[in-house]
Amino acid sequence: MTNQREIETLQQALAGVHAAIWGYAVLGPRLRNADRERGRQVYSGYRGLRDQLTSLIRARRTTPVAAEPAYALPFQVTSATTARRLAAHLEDGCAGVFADLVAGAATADVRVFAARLLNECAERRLQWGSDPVAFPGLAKDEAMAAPRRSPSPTPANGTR
Amino acid sequence: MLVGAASAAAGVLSACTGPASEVPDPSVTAPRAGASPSPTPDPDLPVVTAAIAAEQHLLAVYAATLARHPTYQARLAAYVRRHESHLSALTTLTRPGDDSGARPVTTSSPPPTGGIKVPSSAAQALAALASAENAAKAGRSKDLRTVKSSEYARLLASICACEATHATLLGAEVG
Repeated sequence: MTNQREIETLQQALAGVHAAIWGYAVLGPRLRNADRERGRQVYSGYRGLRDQLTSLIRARRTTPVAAEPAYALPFQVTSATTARRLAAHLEDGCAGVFADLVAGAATADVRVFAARLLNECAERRLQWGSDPVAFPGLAKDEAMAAPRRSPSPTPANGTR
Repeated sequence: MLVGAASAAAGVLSACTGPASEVPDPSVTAPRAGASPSPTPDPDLPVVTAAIAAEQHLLAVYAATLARHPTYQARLAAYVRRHESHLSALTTLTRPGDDSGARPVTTSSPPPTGGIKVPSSAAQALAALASAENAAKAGRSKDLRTVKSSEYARLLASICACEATHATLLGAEVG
């Protein structure tokens, strides 16, 4: 049971990383100056992470999820500004799946690994010019004096 | 097995027609497992209590810093607010089953600042704040190794990530 949840959250993390790789490939050419190099490094970092997650999932005798052929963009990337905004958006999304992996981890090692990934997303969010948030990777960050469980379902059976 | 693949990607991109908060709900509190009204003590209570004390200490460091360097009020207000949110979320964990919110965290009263030395130099004061954030981050990072509840671990990891960004930003201000 615990391991099943770990596998699911590893798969969700991998799916998120696939999307981030695609997104960084889209936004990278729009970045300027030092951002361009940073974008390249992040892109390459996510590719390394994809391989790492793939290995972790294979080691659990499970077939890793494949990337989608394409993803829907939340807005058009037409400038350096929108490229940075999309990058921050990707980091927020990845922060979410990595936070889920923290909760899904069956061992301390995977938990710590996921927490480190979450940290890195939060740091990169700043580098892309977004303000810090109180709860990186958690939903409904704003004004959550008394955080509550949301009724929205987990995505375990969302595959079509 | 491809469980959850498409929808997880949706958290990052596909479902991006909505706000980022539509990432699969991590439900910050959700201490359902340990939330039964049974008298069994929460085995994670010591960790949570220590994390609460650490947040209170951080808030006290901020308060002392602002008392000494009031011109930073505007610059640091958001940091203080985020720590108040952390404290509130952690405190909620110690009151399972109590949804009334009858005993809200008294964040309005300033935390005790006695014994906290604030450098007279503004730059050094910010540097001291940055190292306080780093210490807090290290503490949460350690906690999440040992905490039993996976939902607590998620919350601690998130608070840790926030404190990492605080340390980075404060460090950058110092230059």
